[in-house]
Amino acid sequence: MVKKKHLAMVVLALAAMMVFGFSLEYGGYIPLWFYEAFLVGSFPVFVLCTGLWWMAREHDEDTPFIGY
Amino acid sequence: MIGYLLFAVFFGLLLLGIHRKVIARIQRRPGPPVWQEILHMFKFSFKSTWIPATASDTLFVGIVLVAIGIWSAALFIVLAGGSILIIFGIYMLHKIVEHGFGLSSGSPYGKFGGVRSVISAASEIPLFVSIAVIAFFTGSLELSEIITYQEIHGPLLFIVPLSAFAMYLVILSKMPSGPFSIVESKEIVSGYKTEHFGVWRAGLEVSNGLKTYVLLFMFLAVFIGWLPFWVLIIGMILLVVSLSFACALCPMLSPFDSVTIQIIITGIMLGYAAVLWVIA
Repeated sequence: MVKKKHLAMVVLALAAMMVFGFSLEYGGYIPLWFYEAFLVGSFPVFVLCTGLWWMAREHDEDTPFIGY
Repeated sequence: MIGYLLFAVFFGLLLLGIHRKVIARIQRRPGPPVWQEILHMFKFSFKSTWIPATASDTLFVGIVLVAIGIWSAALFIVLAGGSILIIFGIYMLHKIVEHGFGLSSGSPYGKFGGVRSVISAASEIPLFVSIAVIAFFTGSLELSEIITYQEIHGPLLFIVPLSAFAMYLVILSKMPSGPFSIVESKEIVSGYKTEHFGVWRAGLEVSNGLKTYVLLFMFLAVFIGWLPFWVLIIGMILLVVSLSFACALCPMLSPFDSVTIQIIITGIMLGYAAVLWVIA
């Protein structure tokens, strides 16, 4: 499994790029479709990397958020 | 745009939570809190996760990325008022995703779920007839032009009610615990998603939230028209409550019965389209 440090770097880089992309699109520097295409590619990676960074490692307790 | 994407994920999951709550109340159970599906997503993302030894590594992980990616794309197309043909092309891609989920795991339950996903492709045929009827009336498959048509002629819900009913059944077939939910029925554990646990399941939950949001949004936009944001939210909640009633009151059908009923509905829809064609 990939190290937490590397995953954190990917998550932060993607988050920064998504926010930066938004500001570029908002400012009219890039077209909306281009930003949306970027999100379609980057958002799934962001979701999985965030989970893999956050998840409990083996032998850790991993049952929060049961909800009931 | 990223804000709207996140909102769609969380609100879609909230709608699925409302769905579970309403089903539980109809069945006289307390049921989970309405935000249970959001909690599920967080819970799964925190679970210790690995890839099963029997799985195809690349497909096992890649299919989760595809699932989130295609519904993100569908959301942007709906918001842009793009072609409903592309959106329902994505809907068809979701079949491949379900199939990929099932086959990538190496588990027999997952494979059964994947195979049932292919069988349940029968549910998409009413969808195409429904789209054909919409195109016949509005002369377009662009969502923005369909909305413009409704501003002039009134909601398509009243002009082609059977078409709306067919699409309603298509959405019903995608709701959990529904009469057509054969891909996730209990005799095959969790169907195609049986082996996708932990972070992979959290990704699937994100995709399910987006899918629910997009399909309900689409239904309201295509058959009622463009709605103000708060009316859209209320409309989605009402729609999901009605779907919950259908899911709670109808037993889950066997795969054979499910496909048979969907083919009968397709036949009725084809007859309806033919009658409209002759009248026009």
